[in-house]
Amino acid sequence: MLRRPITLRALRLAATLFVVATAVFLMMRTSGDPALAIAGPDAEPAYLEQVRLKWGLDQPLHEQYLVFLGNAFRGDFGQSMASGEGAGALFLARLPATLQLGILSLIISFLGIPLGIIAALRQGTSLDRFVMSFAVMAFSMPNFFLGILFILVFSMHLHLLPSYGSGSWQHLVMPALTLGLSSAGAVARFARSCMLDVLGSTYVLSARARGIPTSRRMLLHALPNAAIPLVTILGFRIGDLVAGAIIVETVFAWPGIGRLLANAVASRDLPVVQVVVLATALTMILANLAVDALYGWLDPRMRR
Amino acid sequence: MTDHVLTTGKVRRKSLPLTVKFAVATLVLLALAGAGADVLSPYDYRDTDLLARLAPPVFAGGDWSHILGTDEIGRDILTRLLHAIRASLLIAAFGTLFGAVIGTVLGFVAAHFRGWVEHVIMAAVDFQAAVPFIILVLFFMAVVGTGFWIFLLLIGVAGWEVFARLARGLVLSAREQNYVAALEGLSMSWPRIYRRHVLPNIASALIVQLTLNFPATVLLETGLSFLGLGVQPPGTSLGLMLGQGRSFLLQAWWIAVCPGIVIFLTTFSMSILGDWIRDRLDAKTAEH
Repeated sequence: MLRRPITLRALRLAATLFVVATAVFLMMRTSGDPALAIAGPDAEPAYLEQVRLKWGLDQPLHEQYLVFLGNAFRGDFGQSMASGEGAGALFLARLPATLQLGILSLIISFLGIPLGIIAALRQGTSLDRFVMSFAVMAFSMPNFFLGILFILVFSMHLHLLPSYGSGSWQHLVMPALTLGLSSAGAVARFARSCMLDVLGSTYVLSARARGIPTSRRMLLHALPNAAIPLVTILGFRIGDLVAGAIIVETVFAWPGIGRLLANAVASRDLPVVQVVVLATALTMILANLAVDALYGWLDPRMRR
Repeated sequence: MTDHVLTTGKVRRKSLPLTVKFAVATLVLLALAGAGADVLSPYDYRDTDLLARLAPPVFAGGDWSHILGTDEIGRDILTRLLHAIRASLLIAAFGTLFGAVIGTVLGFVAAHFRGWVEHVIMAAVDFQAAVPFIILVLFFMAVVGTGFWIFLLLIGVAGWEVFARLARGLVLSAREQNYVAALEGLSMSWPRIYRRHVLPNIASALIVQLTLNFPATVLLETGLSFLGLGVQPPGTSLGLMLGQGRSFLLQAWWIAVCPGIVIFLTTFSMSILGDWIRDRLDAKTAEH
């Protein structure tokens, strides 16, 4: 794929965020009374009127849109129907827990990189087959079932770790492993195929023909080139982690954004759902931008 | 001569790996279990046996009246499992096929019209690939509401972007080939060329993608049902069973573990089979 200059990419991604915000706005406004959606079904008529005024719901749609964008820009997304707190504040309160879980599972999933590279170097051996079986198992395993197996073994049978909640590092172990392991499988597979591509390339073969020792050939010729496509997986992983967190946080009652979203959807708490969706879109867009920047930095061919 | 043919036959049969045999056998068994759910079930799947609540399975000290034990209101786990297999496999099969058809049609449209039509479709594909599908599903459910048909529709849309991108690429390269140019020269209509000539030529790649998408669809359906946002009681699904069993882990682990094992076996077998078919086809195309 041809990579565009980074500023152009950034502009395009900003446009994507704008499109997402517009889509969210339209979906929210065209399904039922938006004042009820923001204020909650049991709101007093007087309060409903207040909400209508504040969000400009008596104005034509394009005016409402500007109010929505202005409020969103200031971080005001309306009140949660369930708790009455600001949806933005609720989101921020849950953010640290999700970041903790996400970063730790991202690190665990990166264990797949050395595994995949070793499998590629020993292609066709039983070690390779073992790593690949692990990879297929890891991403075939539903994370809610893996989480429940962990709870059965480590909490209920061995009494080693708490089965739910948060507060200590012990609480983080099982959710992070559950989320990270399935990702590690996909990472290992991808790392293996990247490394195999590089190992079959002419420059590695010619390095071998010139008599360059294996270790030097792998470290200086093969690995840096295999690292370039590996960076793209970072962007995909973050999406998978966000998706996985919804279920894993529910299994372990981890007080993060995934559980906030699952509960908000079940109770149709639209302001909260809207914040989480917009924030997810923003995160994905920033992650993709970071991947592009890294790409340009790693690969001199992109810096023209 | 016959000798030679026989040996190649033998070599071929040997080359079918053990894991693939296992995968095929598992999938056949699961399909039979789902298809024969009504005949095979020892009980009705809604029947409760209040005297035998939380009865353990045979291999954990239970008796043969409930082979896989019972749940918290005395429903037979084996019976519920068979019905859940049927529901989950049907939903996942429908979902995978529906998404494949939508995506393939859009891929053909993009490749045929090019220009702004292609831009719009590919922008949608990029967007879909960038945002986790479950987030879109949840947002849609929050706005529109939950319900079986909405759920089925959302599962159906899943994975369309993979097929759109794949079909577009395949059609674009097919249009470069001589047989399409020849048919166009014979002034055959484009819909007919696509349906009768291009589609059969690219079908194998699409079928491989079907087998690779199926496990993801199973995980989406069971995951949503696990969260309580998919199949609703009194209906049943593997994910719903697991979600309900979660509350009884301490007293009755089998309620959650039985459906969990079945989900894992389904996705694992399908992944193994899909990988194997893809490798075979890749090897075949590499030979030519």
